[in-house]
Amino acid sequence: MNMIPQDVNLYCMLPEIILLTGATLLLFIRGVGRGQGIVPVAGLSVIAALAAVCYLWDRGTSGFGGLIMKDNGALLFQAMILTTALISFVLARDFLPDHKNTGEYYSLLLFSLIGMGIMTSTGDLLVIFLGIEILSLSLYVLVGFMKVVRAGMEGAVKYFLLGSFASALFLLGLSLFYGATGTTGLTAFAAPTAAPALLLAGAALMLVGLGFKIAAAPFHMWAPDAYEGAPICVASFLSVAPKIAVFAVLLHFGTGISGSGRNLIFAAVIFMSVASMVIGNFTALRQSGLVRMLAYSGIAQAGYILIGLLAIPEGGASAVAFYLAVYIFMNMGAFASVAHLSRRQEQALQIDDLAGLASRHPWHAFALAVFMISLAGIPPTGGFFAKFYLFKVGIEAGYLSVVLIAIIATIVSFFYYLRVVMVMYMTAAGEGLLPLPAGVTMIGVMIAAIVIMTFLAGIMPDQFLRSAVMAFPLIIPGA
Amino acid sequence: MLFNADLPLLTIIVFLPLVGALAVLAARSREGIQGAALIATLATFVLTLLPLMQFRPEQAGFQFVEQVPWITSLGISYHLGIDGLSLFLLPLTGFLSVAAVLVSWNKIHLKRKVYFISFLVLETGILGVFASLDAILFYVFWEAMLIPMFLIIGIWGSENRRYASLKFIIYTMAGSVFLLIGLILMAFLNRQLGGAFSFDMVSWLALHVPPPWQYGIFLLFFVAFAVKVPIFPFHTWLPDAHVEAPTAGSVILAGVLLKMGIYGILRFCLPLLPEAARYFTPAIMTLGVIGVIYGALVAFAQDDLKKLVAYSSVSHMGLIVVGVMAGNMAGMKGGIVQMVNHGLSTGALFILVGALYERQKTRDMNKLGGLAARTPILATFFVIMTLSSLGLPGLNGFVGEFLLLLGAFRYQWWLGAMAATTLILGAVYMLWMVQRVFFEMDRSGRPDAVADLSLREKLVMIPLTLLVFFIGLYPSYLTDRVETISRQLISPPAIKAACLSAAAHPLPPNLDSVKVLDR
Repeated sequence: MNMIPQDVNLYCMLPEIILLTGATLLLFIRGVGRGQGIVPVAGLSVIAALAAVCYLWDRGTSGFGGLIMKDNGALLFQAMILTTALISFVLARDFLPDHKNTGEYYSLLLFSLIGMGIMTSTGDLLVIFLGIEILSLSLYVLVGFMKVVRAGMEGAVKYFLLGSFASALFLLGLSLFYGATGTTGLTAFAAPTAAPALLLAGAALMLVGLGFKIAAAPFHMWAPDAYEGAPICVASFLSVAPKIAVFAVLLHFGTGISGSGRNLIFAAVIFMSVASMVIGNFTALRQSGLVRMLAYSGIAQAGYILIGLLAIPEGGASAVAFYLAVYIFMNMGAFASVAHLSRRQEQALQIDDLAGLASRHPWHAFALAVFMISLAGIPPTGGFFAKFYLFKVGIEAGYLSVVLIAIIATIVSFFYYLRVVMVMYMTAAGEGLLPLPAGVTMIGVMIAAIVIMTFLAGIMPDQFLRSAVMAFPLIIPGA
Repeated sequence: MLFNADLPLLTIIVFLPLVGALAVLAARSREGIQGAALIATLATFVLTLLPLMQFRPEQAGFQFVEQVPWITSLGISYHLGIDGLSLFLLPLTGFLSVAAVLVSWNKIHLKRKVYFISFLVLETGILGVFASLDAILFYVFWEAMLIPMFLIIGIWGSENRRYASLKFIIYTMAGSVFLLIGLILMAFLNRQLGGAFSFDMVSWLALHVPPPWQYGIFLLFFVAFAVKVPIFPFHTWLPDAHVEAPTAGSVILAGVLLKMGIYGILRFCLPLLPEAARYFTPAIMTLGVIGVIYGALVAFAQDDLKKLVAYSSVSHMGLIVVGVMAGNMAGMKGGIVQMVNHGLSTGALFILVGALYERQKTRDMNKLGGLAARTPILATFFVIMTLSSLGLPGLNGFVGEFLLLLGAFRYQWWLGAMAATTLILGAVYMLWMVQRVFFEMDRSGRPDAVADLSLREKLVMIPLTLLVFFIGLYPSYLTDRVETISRQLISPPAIKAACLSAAAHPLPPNLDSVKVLDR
């Protein structure tokens, strides 16, 4: 790493600068008024950051001596993260109205967006670590944001301890990597090194650290507790956004990796992928809590996405990007539905509480059913083509056996996803749910929009796919 | 010509029910919902008759073809077209869908809207499966159709419906994901053998898949289709699904859904993977014969009417598998014709069993009896359909069964002989059923009057009966139209030539079929 960057091009940090301004402003607003203007400022800064992303599109801006590179791949991931944040804002607006600390809440969320923005747009390990830390520190607080709820504190502490442990491992791996190569740039992976074992150990440790962040098995233990304990608007954000950022980092990793260590690292990725699919799906079968079920389903989904990392020369990067784009909609949609249903509920929502939902709230049941079907990967929803594309590149790269395991895992997943549909449509009404507010609500409109997006991604995936393919000319070598 | 060539007839046929579903969604009253569903299915049925009239039987290759790019980055196109194989399945689907709506008329009180929407979405899915010429389009329809069927069984079924619906969907889905892997492998092979990465089934026909790949892909395909047919030992979902499903659901399930398995075998396995098909033929035929005998024997032991008809389906579908795998003209033609016949007669039987159940509130044959005197019209239709199902000459079932058995005998006389036991066993359990239900003493303990078929039910049964007689007396209407496709299917290289040239080609020398019924 060059200690003194020659070209400080602040231009390339435009989205992050906007977010930083917004985050700082939010801290002051809380002190001044009575919390009015918090949500608009937060929303506007994210929208402005999105606009900045659009502005930087196709320009390939870079700065700080090449430490920050806003290529289209990075911008695509950043746009996806910002979209996730916008969706979670709508949920938070519904969920947190009574809290006095909402300014802090939105401010921390914007800080985490800055961290993820940095993670997606750099090829330097130290800067990646910086991004991970900004992200993690914000999320530790957010997960424990409901201070009064005991389970929330438990989840937060678990997340904090395991998360800092993972960060430490990443840092250790980083130092080993530096020892082996004399640089913190990821490009050093490709270069021959004098100490391959050291490099490999460093890479493995960093992989473990990143595996924690995406909740891939066997580093997934924190996820169900953290999701359940966190406010649901945080849980939804936590289940999608960090995954996107970390997969952007992993794609950088995977592109550079070569030589003899490649096979070992790939074996580790295959192990993580298979373990996530198996553990995630089989454990999800036994869950009775809706959020816990979604947490384990998220672990399984991370396992599917990891297949894309094995096939980067075959278009794995665009497959991962497409999957994540669809994943935003279906997973955030599922969480939004759950959030809407569980508002004002004292306890965590159980699957059996949904009994008879189709009779009382047909549209709501339909939306949740669409998200479940999409998560299960059944056409004509976006989840089908997302899985299809991943399996295609996986087979193309020669990992037919991994894909076959993924297929069997998918069959298992039908049980728990369809169970939700069954409970909603095929059982008599229970007494689990409090009445929902009638009329058009903002969250309802958003869920409807997400349903439409889920179908669009399944009926006309070409647009999505093409932008995913176009975005990675720089990441895919020789493509 | 009613329609000019530019009009995308197949697209209209496939998506008209979906438009009807939107109309149902917008409808307010009960009459409105049912009326919209009836109009949509009727209009679709009328439209499905158009390809039947304009079809040119002598022409090889696909007709009414439509193709537009869909997902170009993955080599997927929106490609529709039909040939002799799918020709009759479209009107069959259209007809049975109308029947399904009429059968459910005023009977559904719970979530009426969702019910009719499910049926219309289901119809779009089925029609799409039969009309698709792109493998992924086919797969999308194939899977999309499962969700409405899952809901139909699971919401409006009888007591054990949740178990049955989950079993149904898990079995079929588990099969079809393997199909997906097979399809992706085929697309790669298409690229490897000189083409593009494409899911176009017409271009796949020109491929010669390398033998080691053929066996693997064949097994992946076969599992998916065998579950659907269902071929023994993949059949265990069928009796559960049938018994629990509402009447209309059983009609569609037995009448059309089971045909999709055979359709898949004939569309994918035989023409694309001929060597593997030849290699696995003895095994599949054995499974088919086991299905024939096993299904019949189990049907024999049933007291529940619906279960009996369900197991008779296992037996009949086994016979179709034996026929189409035999690799000769008689068996192939018989198989394609019998797909239609089985759809008509079994669909009709399920309608009648449903009507019976509504009147007597039981399907247990030990609690029925003596109904012939009290419901003469129902009994008459029931007997006709039973006779059609067991293959009485003059009715439709005979044509198919005769050709199928002829094909089986030509392949191996002893296999044919074993398959022919279906004639005896089928007659035994079917006629015994008729005797127990309609004759003998009334065992219901409620000797009060029973309503005979209503006008609406008669409206469904009369066309069905007419069709049964029509096909039985004039079978060449069907057999002529499936002649070309059958010849292509039994001689795989020919279909490739046919599709490349898309012109009628000289008859191959192995025209061994006796033209018994073609006068």
